[in-house]
Amino acid sequence: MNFEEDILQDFLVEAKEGIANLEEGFLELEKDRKNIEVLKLLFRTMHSLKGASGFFGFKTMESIAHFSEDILSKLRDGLIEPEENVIDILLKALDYIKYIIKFIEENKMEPIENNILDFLVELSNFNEILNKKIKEFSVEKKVEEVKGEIEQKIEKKLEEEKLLLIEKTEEKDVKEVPSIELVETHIKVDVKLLDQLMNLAGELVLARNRVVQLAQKITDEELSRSVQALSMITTEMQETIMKTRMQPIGTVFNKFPRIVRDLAKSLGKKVNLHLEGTETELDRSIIEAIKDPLTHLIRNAIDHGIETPEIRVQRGKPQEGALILRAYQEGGQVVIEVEDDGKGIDVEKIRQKAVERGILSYEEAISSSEKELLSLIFKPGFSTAENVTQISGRGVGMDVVKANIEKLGGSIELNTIYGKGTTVKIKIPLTLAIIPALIVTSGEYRYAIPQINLKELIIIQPEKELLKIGHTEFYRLRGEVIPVLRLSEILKTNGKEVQKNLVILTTGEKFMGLLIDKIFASEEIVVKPLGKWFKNIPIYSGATIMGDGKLALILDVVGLSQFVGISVEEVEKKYEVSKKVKSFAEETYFILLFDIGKERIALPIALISRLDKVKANEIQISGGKEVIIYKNEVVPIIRLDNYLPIEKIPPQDEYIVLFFTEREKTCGILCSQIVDTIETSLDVEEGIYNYPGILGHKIINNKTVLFIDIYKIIEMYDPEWFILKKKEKIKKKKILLIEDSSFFRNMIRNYLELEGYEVETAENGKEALEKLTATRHFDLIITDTEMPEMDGFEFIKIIKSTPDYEKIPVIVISALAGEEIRKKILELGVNGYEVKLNRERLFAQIEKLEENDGVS
Amino acid sequence: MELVKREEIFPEKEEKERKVAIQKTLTIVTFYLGDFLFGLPAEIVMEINKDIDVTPVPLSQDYILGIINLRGQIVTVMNLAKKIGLDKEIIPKLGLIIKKEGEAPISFMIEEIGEIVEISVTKLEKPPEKIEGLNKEYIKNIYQLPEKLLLILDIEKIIEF
Repeated sequence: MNFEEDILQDFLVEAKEGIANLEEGFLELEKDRKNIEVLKLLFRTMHSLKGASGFFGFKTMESIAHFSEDILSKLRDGLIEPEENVIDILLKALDYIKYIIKFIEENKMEPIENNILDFLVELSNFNEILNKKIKEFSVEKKVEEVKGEIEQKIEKKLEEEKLLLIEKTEEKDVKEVPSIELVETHIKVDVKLLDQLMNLAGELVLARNRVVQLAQKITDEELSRSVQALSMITTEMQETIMKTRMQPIGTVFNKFPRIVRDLAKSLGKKVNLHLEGTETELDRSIIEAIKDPLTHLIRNAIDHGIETPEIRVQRGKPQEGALILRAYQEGGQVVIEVEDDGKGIDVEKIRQKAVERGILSYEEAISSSEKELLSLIFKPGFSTAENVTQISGRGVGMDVVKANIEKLGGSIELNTIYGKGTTVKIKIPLTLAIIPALIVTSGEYRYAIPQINLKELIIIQPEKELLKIGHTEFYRLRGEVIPVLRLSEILKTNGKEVQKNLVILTTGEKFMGLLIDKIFASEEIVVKPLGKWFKNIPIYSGATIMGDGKLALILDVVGLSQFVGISVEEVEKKYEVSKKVKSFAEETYFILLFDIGKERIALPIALISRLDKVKANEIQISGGKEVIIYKNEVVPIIRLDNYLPIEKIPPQDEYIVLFFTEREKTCGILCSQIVDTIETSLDVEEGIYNYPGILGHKIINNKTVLFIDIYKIIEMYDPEWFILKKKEKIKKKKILLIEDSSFFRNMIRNYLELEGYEVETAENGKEALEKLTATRHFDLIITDTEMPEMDGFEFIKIIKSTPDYEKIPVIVISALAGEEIRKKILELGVNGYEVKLNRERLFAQIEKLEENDGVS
Repeated sequence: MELVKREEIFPEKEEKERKVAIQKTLTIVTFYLGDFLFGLPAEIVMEINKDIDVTPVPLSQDYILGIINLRGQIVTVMNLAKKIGLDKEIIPKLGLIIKKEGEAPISFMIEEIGEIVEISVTKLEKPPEKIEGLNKEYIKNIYQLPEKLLLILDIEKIIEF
């Protein structure tokens, strides 16, 4: 519903109220024609109707109300007598008003019908006659005869008019104004009453839960049926009550066109504001609370984001800046985006400012990633505006915005492309009071996890399926490696010895696993705030009262994720003294660091399926090759020192074996010891260690770490390893691989070439376009998304709109995971999307494409 | 206008005087923790509960025992003995629920409830330099009862976070 419709609704509600008052008033008047109070009320009501309809430009209705008001004022002032014909015409006027209102409600416009216009003429004439009558009456009060004559005349004329009207209506065979009963569709309710209802609904849910629990102890069919009915009705009632508090976000959005226009004007800028999703509904308390933060963001976008028309033209942008305010629902949350196509945020400037202001040391600033730097904007007292203007840039604001959003249980995220624009994304819950949650236990206590953060539940065998490296455990969920936390460890309580229930959680951005003792139930819970004593513990967002009256703490998944974050960051800080900031710096991966003798080697954890210890005497020789028997399987062992220019692995009693599995084939890599896992980018240095099987190196904790190409090494060990079915390739397919990270570029190229493809590489979209122009023909394009110069999104858009290239299939490999990204990527019209580091899946995609190709 | 103002002022003045008069005596709820007798103004004591079912909140401060459900409201439970640095092990049995204006209620764990006493404000004394066995900073005043020394707690300081 947009603003216009919104106030039109208000108008209709008011008009109906007015009509009801008028009807009641006329009824009263019938009883006592001289009741001056009623006449006053009628006059006032008609007057407001006139004003309101005039405001909306409903001319006919305004006129009817105007003449009626006029007549009513004469009655009120005693200038005329409330005679039958006067009341009649007023009632008729009311009927027409009702008809018009009904028509407006249905058609959003006034009816254009002859009979209404005819009535208007009649009404106007009637009023005119009354005027004359009054005038003559006052001037020639004494001349009784004249008066009588005139009265006669009037009556005659009226008679004629009436007859005329009847004739007319009969002629056209139009029913007289149908007597319309206006059904009240809206009533005004005190907000406090709604709030109270909401609270009561909350209490009812709790009472219901209690009854449900008690009923479970008694096996009685009748009882359980009634309880079920009670349960359903309660849920429905609660949902309905919740809906009464919902308002379209348009009520806030519609205030912005004015603000934007005024602001743009005062800054000499041109801004075109688009509102999207104004009908998205939110709890009214949240609507109230987001008004200020949104205003601030909009001001920022216009003040700091959008450039002046001259600069925009210089930069090849349209004069008018685009500002999009977008709202949509996603799961149980509402996402609000403020997007501008202005100059974006200069991350380097933030870096500089951070050092100047002493927020970061020089070293910290150099090693900070783009994401880390952007997050500084939300720190108190940080502003990048060069000029402090009246509108914004006083160094306060974004921290307040963030605090306000977080207070609502929401999150805020900032994305910017320097020179191209900024998008601020706010996620807030639909409602704050009652949320669906999963109840789990740790030790003897229960905890609630909001459903919104829940991805899936898995029963695992932790000792087999979890990969513990350093301090962090990992679980492989369909190829993606996600960190796992143990709830009992975080809470420092005693959990069960074997925890098999793994809850996969999402913060919206990243996934993690949470191992818990037991899954209890899925319930609607009423969120109650925790006292100030617990504000500094990030892992709780409140508490709730369970059906049995006991309490359960509500876990805050974002807070929990910081627990993963903290340890990883700490490790990272410890190891990474020098870290070069590059465009893909925010693409980080969990890396396993291990030693072979004195050499330190690194591999992405996602590539390793397991790791275990093996005694030296367990390594056997079979068929001239070293193998071990692992879980009833013969696993060949690879010594990296046989293929890489490194020292031999010193003999040990016990080694660590990293298992590598693909297409049900497993091999093991022998190493001396595991060092740790870190989350880091894969911006490796090439050149010094130019050797097959080595993708590059990186200095981590003052030590050179070699990043190895596991596929190349396995191929060196056994060239047949990856070849399952030898296919005769009819034609050598040509692939264009676009990837900015040399690590991935080289690794993927190697394994594509291994499979018999011809591969050309490019480091970004721009280079790729050049390659495309030079070598017209490619059979397939594989591209990354996040790249400097021209990113994958833009590149694909260009490809898909260029007739020469649009038919080339495109597969996207990305470090970005999650439904949202997947959707965004697939919307581009690409043929496939895979998360990086999954060779098997990438080949499956390619094969699928080739098969389709073969068919067509 | 003038007249109205005066009328408004007068009752205020009277109330002020009344307040001073009231403040001459204070009603204090007393309770025991170890050998000490503590007191808190009766006006902030909401109720005393036994058999309270505390749900612990892991990772909270050591003097926070957890939370309870007080008729639908979540109330924080504090181990008062620990907070005020009482060096003796005590077995808290009762929950003394305190509600200060503008603050959420909080439950203090106490051993035993004592009498409710009226004390004279003028006889309140400053706490001594050192009180053996507990942290003096949480004691606002001391008051000599006929048989025992009453330690009046500094509630603001205790519930300050």
